[in-house]
Amino acid sequence: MRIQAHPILEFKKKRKIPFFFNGRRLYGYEGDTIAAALHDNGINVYRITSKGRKRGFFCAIGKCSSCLMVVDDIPNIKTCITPLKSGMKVETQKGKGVYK
Amino acid sequence: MIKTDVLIIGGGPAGLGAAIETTKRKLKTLIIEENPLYGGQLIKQTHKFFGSSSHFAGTRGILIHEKLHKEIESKYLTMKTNHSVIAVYDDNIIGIHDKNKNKFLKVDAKKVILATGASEKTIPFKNNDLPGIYGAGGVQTLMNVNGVLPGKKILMIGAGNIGLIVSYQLIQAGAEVVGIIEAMSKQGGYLVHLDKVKRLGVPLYFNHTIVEAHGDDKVEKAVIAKVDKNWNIIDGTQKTVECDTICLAVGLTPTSELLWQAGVEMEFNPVLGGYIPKYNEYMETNKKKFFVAGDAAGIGEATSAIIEGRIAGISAAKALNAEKNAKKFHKPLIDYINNLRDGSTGIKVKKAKFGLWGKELKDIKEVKIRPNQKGKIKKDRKQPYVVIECTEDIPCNPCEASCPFGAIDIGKRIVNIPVVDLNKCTGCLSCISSCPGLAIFGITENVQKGKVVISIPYELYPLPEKGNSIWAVDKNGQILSEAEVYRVRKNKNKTNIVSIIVDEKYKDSVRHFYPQSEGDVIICRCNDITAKEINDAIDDGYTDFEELKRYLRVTMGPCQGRGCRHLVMGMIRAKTGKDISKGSTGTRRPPESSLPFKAIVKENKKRSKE
Repeated sequence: MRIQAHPILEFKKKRKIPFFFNGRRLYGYEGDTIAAALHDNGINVYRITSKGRKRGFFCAIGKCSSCLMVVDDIPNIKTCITPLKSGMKVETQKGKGVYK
Repeated sequence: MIKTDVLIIGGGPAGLGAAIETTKRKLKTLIIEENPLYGGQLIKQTHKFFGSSSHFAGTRGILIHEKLHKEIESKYLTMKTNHSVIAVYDDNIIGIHDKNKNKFLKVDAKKVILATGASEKTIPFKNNDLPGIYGAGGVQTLMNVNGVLPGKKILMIGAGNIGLIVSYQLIQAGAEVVGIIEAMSKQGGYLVHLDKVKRLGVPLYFNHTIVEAHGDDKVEKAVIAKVDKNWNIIDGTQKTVECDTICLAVGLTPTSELLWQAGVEMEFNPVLGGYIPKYNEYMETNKKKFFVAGDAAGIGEATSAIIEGRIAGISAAKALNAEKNAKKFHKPLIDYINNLRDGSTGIKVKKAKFGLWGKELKDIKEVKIRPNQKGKIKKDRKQPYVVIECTEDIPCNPCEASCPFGAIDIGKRIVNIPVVDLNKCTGCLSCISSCPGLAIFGITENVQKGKVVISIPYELYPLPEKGNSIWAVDKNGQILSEAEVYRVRKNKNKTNIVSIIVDEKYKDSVRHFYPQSEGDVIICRCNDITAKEINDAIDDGYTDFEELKRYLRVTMGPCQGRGCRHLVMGMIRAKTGKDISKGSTGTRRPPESSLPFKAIVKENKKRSKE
């Protein structure tokens, strides 16, 4: 859910960029972090732990490990502080992730 | 190997404050920031800061960030964002991960300022890891930096300053805060912040805690319960709250991992948020190479982090012989920061810091809680006057500085309660938009008989317009009466002033308003005809039912006027006083209810055959 109008802030319209989530083509905006773009697309589950628990966005500043995902085949990427790039391949991380 | 005079770890308020001082003294300065954007918490803080107006008070965090950046001598600064410091080695070489190029860098710095900030605490409850549960800072980043809302219905845990401020910011961004849960019997944050959310009608649950979160892929509801004095759950008081987001504002703890690695002496200090380094008032640690500042040196607010950063920057410059007169620059900063902590909230931090510095804390005079007003209001006074509702010893003075007539007095100590002299107040209302706590209101009497105008600081969207009908509400968000917007004054700093006109009996109670929901009163469902259209038509002279019907096609839809005839008749009577039992109420013609033409045509065919 993008904020459309705000009494204090102005969000400038930025360039739309495509990325892939579990093979699905989605769009974010330039300047987004991966986690923010996923959130905007209504995706809340970023990884599933070895015990099967679902995890999402928590601290937004790269300190808590909640949002680790597999990005361009590299596991354990802190998606909340990693900028989204065009064509990025983002996947739900299972367990500790596998380095492909 | 990158060589630099000063390495600053963390590009938040403390790090930027430090860089101002080191670059001013021509020291080659390198800032390493883990996030894609530097500025730390400042870039997400949309509220105006407390403090002294000579040190950015009354300015929003997002703008302070820009101002700090401008003060840094860019010639001497290298800013590396998206870089993480991952190690401080035994030989004091610092290892850095360049996340842009995925490379490992080594930095040899003469002095290091650790301004690593804080991490959010969490609390244990069932399913506290479910997606949809966020730290309050995380929510702030998501909505105020990324422009994305976490959800629509938010349950806030914690009524400290962060919980209260973020609740307000969520409402500003368009979300609904379904409740604020606090285990203590009262708010931990300032009253002015509490008042802001109370005026918006946010339900407050003191002596409550969260027991569990429910949901599959995301939070769907929460169970909360009352707690006793020892914070044990009282069985039988559990209840569910529908929400899609749970926001934890339960405190912060210093990010101290690199300090431990650096071998700085550490201690556990619950007042300052956890494990903190030992340092003196010049922000020097026991290791000559390392300085600390900001939340890493004990949890505080951004204002003091900037000042601590500056103190640390001067200390580092002194150690590098780039500042011979450090004392002269240190003193006003140290005095300022100590004065900020003179109020009942800050004093705990001040005591903890003095304890850490091994200094005796003398002469703590309690702040006198005094009335906010003095002087008399003349009965026939036509110009507005202000009412300040700020009753706590907050270190803050923008109201005093904003008054062009010297009518507001705080006095020597910044934590004093502001007093407005009503004899000096001209009613210019500039103080209303300067107040970070949104705690100043304007009152204008003698505008219309029996009415008063109340001027309210307004930071919500959309801004109403003059003449709009609104609901006037009290300090607790309860609707008291219907009222009208009298005047709207837009301000550059985005704290606009909306003046509303109400009955004079509400002079001391109305402090906010809700916009009335947009939408129409529909009279005729078949043809979408509104009450306004009918009333306007009656005003235009269509006072007879038959005329009105022909003009608007009201009662002429498929329902044949079953739904609206009585309403229209009633409206004519109300407007004109006509006796509706006399005169036409329309002719009832077939078909009584709609049917396909085909049905009638078939019947005719049969008949013609006969």
